[in-house]
Formats: sequence, C-alpha cells, structure tokens
Amino acid sequence: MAESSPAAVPSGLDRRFEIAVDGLIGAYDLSANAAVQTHIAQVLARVGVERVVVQSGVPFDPSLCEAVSTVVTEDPARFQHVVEMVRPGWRQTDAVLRSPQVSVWVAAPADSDSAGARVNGGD
Amino acid sequence: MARLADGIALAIDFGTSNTAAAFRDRNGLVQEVRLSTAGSLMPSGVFYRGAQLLVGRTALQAAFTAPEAFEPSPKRRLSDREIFLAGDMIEVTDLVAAVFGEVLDRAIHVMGSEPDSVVVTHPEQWSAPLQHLLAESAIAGGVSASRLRLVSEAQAAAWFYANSAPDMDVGARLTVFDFGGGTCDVAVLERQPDRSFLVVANDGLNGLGGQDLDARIQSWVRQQLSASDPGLLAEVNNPSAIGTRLTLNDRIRDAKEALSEATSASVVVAAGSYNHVLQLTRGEFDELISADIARAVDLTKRVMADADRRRPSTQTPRIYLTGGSSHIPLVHARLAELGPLGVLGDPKTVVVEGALYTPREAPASPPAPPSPPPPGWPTAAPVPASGPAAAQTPLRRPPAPLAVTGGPPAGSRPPEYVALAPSPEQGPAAGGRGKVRKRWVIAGGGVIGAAIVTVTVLVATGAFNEHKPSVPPSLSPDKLSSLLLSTSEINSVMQTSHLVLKSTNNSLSSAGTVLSDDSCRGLIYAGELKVYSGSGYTAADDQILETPTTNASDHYFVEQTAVSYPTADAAHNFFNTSSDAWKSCAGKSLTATNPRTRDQFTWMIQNFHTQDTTLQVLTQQVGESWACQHALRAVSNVIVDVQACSHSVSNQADEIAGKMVANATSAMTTKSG
Repeated sequence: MAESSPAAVPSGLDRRFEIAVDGLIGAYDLSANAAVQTHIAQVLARVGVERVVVQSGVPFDPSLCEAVSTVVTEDPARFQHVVEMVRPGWRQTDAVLRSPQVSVWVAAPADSDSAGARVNGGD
Repeated sequence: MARLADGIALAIDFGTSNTAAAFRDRNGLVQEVRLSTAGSLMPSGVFYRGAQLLVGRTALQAAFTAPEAFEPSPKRRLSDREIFLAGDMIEVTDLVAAVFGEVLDRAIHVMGSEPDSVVVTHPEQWSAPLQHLLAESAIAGGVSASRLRLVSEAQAAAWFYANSAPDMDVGARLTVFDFGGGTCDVAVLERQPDRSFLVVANDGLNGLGGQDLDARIQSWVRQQLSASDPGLLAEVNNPSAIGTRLTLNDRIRDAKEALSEATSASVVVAAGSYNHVLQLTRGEFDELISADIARAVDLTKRVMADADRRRPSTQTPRIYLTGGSSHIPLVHARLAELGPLGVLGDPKTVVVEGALYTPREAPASPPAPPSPPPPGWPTAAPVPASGPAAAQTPLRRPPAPLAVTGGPPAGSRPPEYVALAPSPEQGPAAGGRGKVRKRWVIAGGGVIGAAIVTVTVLVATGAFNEHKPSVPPSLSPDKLSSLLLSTSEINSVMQTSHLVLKSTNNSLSSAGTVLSDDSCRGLIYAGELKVYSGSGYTAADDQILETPTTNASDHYFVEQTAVSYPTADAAHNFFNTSSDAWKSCAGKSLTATNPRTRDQFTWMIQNFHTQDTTLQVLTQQVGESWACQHALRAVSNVIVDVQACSHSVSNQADEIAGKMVANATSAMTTKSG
C-alpha cells in the first residue's frame, strides 16, 4: 500500500517539525495542482514522511484506511470494498500521521427512504 | 515525590473521547504507553461488526460504513447498561471491556510483563454503581481483579499537581478544571493531614468541549463565505466535495490551535480552482466561543461556591487547568478572574500520570456510601463456567465493593473482585483478554427477550392491581397509534396543505447521522432509536410527514412519535433524563454529518424551555432560515415526541404534542378494583 519506501527518519522529532509536516500535508490537500502535490510529496519523503495510497476496488480494511463516505450498491461482491481514495494517507515509519481516507461500497439500508429525509433535515 | 515502586503500576484513563495509559516501572520511572500508531491516545469508540468488536482507531475508521454500529463514547453510555448497535442489544460493559483489553495488550507489550497493579480513573461525580460497572468492565477486559483499584480523575489530577508542588499545606485547596474534547469537569480538593485529598465539591457538563468550539468556527466560515464568496460555499457544499470538507475541518482545527498563540489565524478554503483566505482574529474567535466559555466559567464559579458553602475557607484556591481545550487564552483570562492559575504538564496525560502517584495506603476519595444495587443489578450468581453455555450467556458478576484508593471504609471487608473464569474465546491466563468476544452476539434475541419480559411485568402488575382500589390511568401499547394526528390535522397545524405521509412504523427511527456531540442526539431528533434504547420502553409508533419538494420555501417536515412504558414512573424517568440532556445542550451549536455524502449541517440550539412534563427547544440551521421545533411531553406511561421543521416554524411541534396528549388522555382507561 505504501507508495514509496521509507526514507531515513530524523531523530529528535519535535513539535516544530510536526507543525511543519502538518503544514506541508495541509498544503498538499489544499492544492488542486498535481505538480505542486508531487513536489510536496517529494519534500516530505526526504524527511521520512511517505504518502500512502489505496487503489479502488480493494477490500476496505479499517485498520489501514478510514471510511469518510459510503456509496450504496446492490452488488454484494462490492460490499465493503473501496470505491475510491478521497485523500491519501501519510506515515513516518510505523507512525501513522493520517490513514488514507476512502469511500466504501455498502448495501442499501433497510429504511433508506425514511432515513434520507432525517439525514438532511434541512434543504 | 516520585516513590520507589514495589512493582510495575499501570494507570488507565478511560476518557469520553480518548483513552490514555501510563505506567511506572520498577525504578519508579513514569512513562506513557503509546496506544495507537498515531499517538499516545486511543479513541474510546467501539464498532460492532458481526461477531467482532473493533476498538480504537480501527473502530473510528470503520464508523462511517455503518454509523448505527458505532458507539463513539461508551463511557457516556455505561449507565444505560445495554444499547442497540446495528440492531442488536449489546451490554455496554462489553464495549468498555474491549477497550480495556486493547489497552492492556498494548501496555504489556511496552512494559514487557503483566502489571503488578492497575489503577483506573473515573469522573468524580460517578455513583458507586457506575464505578462498579467500570471495574467490572476492566476485569472483563483482562485486568486482574485483585490488582485493580479505582481513583477519581480529579484526585488523580490533584496528585499530579501535588507531586509537582510537594509543599502544599494541610488544608490548602486547589481547583481542577478539566476541559476536554467533549466534556468540562471541575472539582475543588483540599489537602488532608495524611497528605491525601478530600473532594469538597465537584460537577461537570457533558457535551461542552473542543468539538463545540470547532463547530463555532465552522459556522463562522460558512457565514463569511455566504456573504463574500457564495460560489465557493456552493463548491464546499457540493455532495461530492468530501475531501474539500475534510480539509476545511483540518484548517479550522489548525486555526483554533494557532489562535492559542497568535492574535489572528488564516482559514484557507479551497475547492477545485476556487479558493478564499479568511482571517479570524483572536477577538472574533473570543466572541464566537464566549457563550461556551461562559458556561465553563459559570460551572467553575458554582463548584467553588459550593465548596465554600460545604467547608468554609478563607483562601482562594489555585485553579489547575487540564484537558486538550484548556490552553485557549479566553479560558485563561476568564478563569484568572476567579483565582490564580496553574498549568503543569501535558494536559492530555495529567490525569493518567497523576493516577500513578495516588497512594494505595491513603483514601483517595471519601469512601462511597454503601448503596444498594440499582434495580436490575446483577445478583450474586455463580461465575459462569467455560463451555458452550457460558459462551452465549452474558457474564454476571456479583456486585463487589468499590475498590477506591486506600481501600474500603474502616470496619468493612477489603475490596475484592470475583475472579472470572475465561470464556472459551478468551483463552487462559495472560491470554484471557479476548479482543473478539462472541458470547454476547444474540442477533435479535435481545429484542424478543425484552418483549417477553414486558409481558411478564404487565401480567404481574395486573395481578397486583386486583387488590388495589385504583391505579393511575395508563395507555395500552396497542392504542399508541390512536395518539398520532392525521395528515390533515398536521397540515392544519403547520398551515400548509402539502405535507404527505412519508413513512409510518411500529418502531423508532434512526437518523443515521454522526453528531459532533452524541449526548444531544435526543434533542436534535424525535423518535430516535438510539436515544430510547435501554430506557425500557415497550412499544412505539412513529410517522414522518414531509412535503414532496424539499428545496423550495414551502418545505415542511414533521415527525410524530408515541412511546409507551410499563409504568408512569418509567416514562417520567425517561422524561427527566431527556430534560437533563437537553438542558446541558441548550445554547450550543452542533454539527450533524451525513455519513453517505459527508454533508454537514450546523444547528444552533435555542429557546430551551421546560415546565412540569413538557420540554421545548428550537434548532436553527446556521446560515439558513430552516429551523425545527422539538417538543417532548410525558403523560402517564407515555412519551409524546414531536419535531416540526419549516422556514417559519414557531410553536407547531408543541401544539401537535398537546393534541397527542389530549388523544392519550381520552384513550386511557382508569382501572379500578
């Protein structure tokens, strides 16, 4: 699942380093520019923070990625599989800074009609 | 004051949102236990998946796939004993046990051996039965009964500070102000001659914490965009822009943290090719959160005044701040008006590290008064033997005396928990902490069981009543549907003719949202299954009416629910519980997230009003004219629960509730002997 092999981990990771890493990940998220994102990912890799991606269609494993959305399907073969990655994850050796965030195929709930109105509440 | 240890001591702070652990090694060195790959804390939530209980970060990461299977705060639900998760009735102690089991596994991995003692913290105001359930859960999670003791969170924090200021005089007082992600707790403690601390007064607010402050900024961002960049706001609200909203939430948390140190912070909102930079100044932030902080300060004032009333004192106690939200400058400024402040240590680990300093010898809190087991409390049954029968039967343990630090009141027997035989899934000895506990999987059997019990109770009540001259009128569950108003009556009250019946059920409903504060779920939604589960209700009728067009100005929504209980007392118990919950939610803002689209709706809770057996509240959607009135009434053994929403709602929910109560009164029969 890791996109690249771990780089050397700097010793003495302190709060300022964490803030800088968080800031770069935030900039990656805010950017709609693939070139900028590639550059940020490369900089982070140099300080030992690697991007973690998930492919569409693999089984959803909550120990490795976070469901942030669901998509209803009637195909049981797709239940609990990844629709697509919403945001990549980030990790530093065995420390997970953020799990990849994904949308997941699920079965339609039995009471989807009545729940729908109450989910939104407003308009 | 670090004491040389007589063994390895483990402390576990089982929190509302997160759990922390720390241990003291044989050399007396205190270290935190890293409970997840993401950090020292572990989310306290539990996800129920078939025969498995997922805990910690894994549970949180699975939550959106089935919100109805996820309990974010088992600590808050412990008093409910049993809750519905994904349609099954689950004992809350099993959920808590799963959390303890995971913590113990990780701690043993770090410590290299089993702990010689384990101290578990709990809120100061928890009753003896609640403390007992916590202990029961810890034991079921694998903590050795003979090595377990409990200490209050306030006591633990006090010992942390005492350890940092060992010269505290006898009689000296300190106030512990604990402001976390979802709760705010305050306690005043006094140093005793034996160096322990007496809790003079304490209180807490459920549902006031950092999450509420995030919601305030979220509302502000949306209001700003609505005025200055509606195109971008539309992009943010686009159902498919899930990543955009996740990133916005991150930036809001960043801004909140930055404002603890800086006088202004940027909130960058970006969606596709649109972007906008909003500047939030410290002054604006203070204004946004002033009502929340005022509630926290009022709580502190009240507890300090209560302490002075109980044990008059001339000194102004120093206020020690702990909890992740306590570093906000406005909190410091407002609390400084009440007394000198003290901040020591990492606010997230003050309690768990302090717990390790609490002595075993001295009482850490006043001995809990002996209290009889609550109704339904497990009676002293034999410990189930392992085997197929035990695998499907909930473990029932005799109520053990509370193991507070320092032991029991003089003259009573020492605290002792009954050792448990491992269930077949749990395996022997050190492997006795089963992360997967299949024995409680009853898949709907719980509901059938509840129905049988209900019938038995009604029969027994009827037999008893033969010898009574009269009993209060009550409504038979089969007459519940007669309380509901017709569609034309509802249309008349709502002053429209467009409402149509959308669903009608002999059961309660589930909104399926994730709320920023789940303790307010009962206020936000009418007829919500999760709110009523565990309250002992016997039947329910629920109808949802809505106009076919939901995006026009003549959009109306009504939910009317009638719920029956075996007795009027049981219904009024539910009413009183709801009243307390609504009261603590009043004035807050709350974010509801649709797990499917990740859409978020922020609600301001206004106009809370309670009188006798009536509750009313108005929830206004931030940035919109859409609002809902929610009314809840108790009449004899029935709860009437109504929500009415429109762009011009006022008192319609209460009006509908009033008509339903009138229907109930006429449908009831007075039994007489």
